[in-house]
Amino acid sequence: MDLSFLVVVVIITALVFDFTNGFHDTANAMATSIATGALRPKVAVAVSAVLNLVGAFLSTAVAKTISSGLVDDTKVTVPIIFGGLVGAILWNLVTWYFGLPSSSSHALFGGLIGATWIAAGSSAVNFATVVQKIIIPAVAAPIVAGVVAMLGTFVAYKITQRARQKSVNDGYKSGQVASASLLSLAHGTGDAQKTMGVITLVLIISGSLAPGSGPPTWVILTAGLAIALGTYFGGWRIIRTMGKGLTDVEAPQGFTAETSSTAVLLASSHLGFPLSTTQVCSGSILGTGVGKRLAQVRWTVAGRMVMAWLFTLPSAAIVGAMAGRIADTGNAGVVIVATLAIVAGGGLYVASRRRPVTPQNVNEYPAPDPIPAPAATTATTV
Amino acid sequence: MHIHWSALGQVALVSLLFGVGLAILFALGVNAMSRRTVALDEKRQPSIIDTSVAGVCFAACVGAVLYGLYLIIPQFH
Repeated sequence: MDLSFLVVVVIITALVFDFTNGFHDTANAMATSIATGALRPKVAVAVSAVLNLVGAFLSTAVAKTISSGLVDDTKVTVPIIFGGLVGAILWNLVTWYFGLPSSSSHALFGGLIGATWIAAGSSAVNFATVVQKIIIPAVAAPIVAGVVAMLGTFVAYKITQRARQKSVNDGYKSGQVASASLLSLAHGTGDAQKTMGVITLVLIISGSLAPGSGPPTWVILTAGLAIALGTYFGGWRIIRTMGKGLTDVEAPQGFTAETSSTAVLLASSHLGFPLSTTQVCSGSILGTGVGKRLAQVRWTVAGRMVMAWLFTLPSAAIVGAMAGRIADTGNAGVVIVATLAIVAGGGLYVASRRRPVTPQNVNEYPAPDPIPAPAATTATTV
Repeated sequence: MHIHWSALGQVALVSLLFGVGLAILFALGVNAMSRRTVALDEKRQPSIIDTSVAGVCFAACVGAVLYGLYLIIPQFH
């Protein structure tokens, strides 16, 4: 197979995106199980990684269009895809640094929209489709999931209030293993497909594959491995926010949040109204915090998360537009964009090491702004 | 622009049915299980009602998990 320099770079970039997608989304399925101690942190991410890999092989329905009609697919070129991926990766890394869950799909779509807009004009972007497929579901997802989880949590505590607390805790922890695993598998069947679709389309556009082909085996394998590896790496900063930051999740809440998320996700994907995993899972966790009376929901954290959601599409679009524009000038441009992206990503990683969140301290959410912070606690703040 | 309000309504309704339904079933199961454990600890014969309620509830939850797997794995369709 004769692959140009650009195509090789884009495939690698797509796999990097897949990796960030994996570690960004570990929290969705596993944060609540890690927080309640239903699964030990390392075990949780390992289970989730394996189920993501299995999911990647199970589902063969790879998207035939790169953007689900958000942009005019006939105008999409390889540099546009490259720009879109770079925008998505950088936004994923920024939100990870701040420990905020945000949708990887939205980041990818944002990057593609920005890059397409600059390369082919605003007429190549279908704004009606953006509202219909991104904005409305983004508003609906946390509300639906939140209400389901809130009612579920309320009845769960009501029914078990006279029961022996140790039995209740043990029972729900066992239940969580099943609910979190199912959620991970559901996630795996959806997310690796995005990257497979991107790589397959790059190969088709560049003439290496016949139009309409499915993904070659090596694409399925590498995409599955990249997302599984990312999942195992674990976005501990985001896991801490979702498991301890939004609300301090107890076993009955964790179980209810995971069950609600799974129910909403499966219902949405089978009734033709796809909702974003991240928004569903965050909504469930907030709902479960509200549903337990006297539970503390940190609305400032929730507010920051919602801000991140609002900024996902435009931020990724701006970076995507610039990256796509520079990459369009030729191989030198591609190298410049790749170098800048690596420097930016490396910088965020180095910055994150100053106050690392690890499997050891993932369940220690820092007290809100300790004013004369003693040296020992500053090391664990976000 | 066409927004599928009816699809969204269906999603909300089905999610509510399954999400809250499972929460109730599992909670009833856990509650019955707890009463059973307490009885055993106090050297009493656990009531047959508690045992069967726990059994039925958890069996229903296992059924829901299997149905979930059926929905997730495309090879089953």
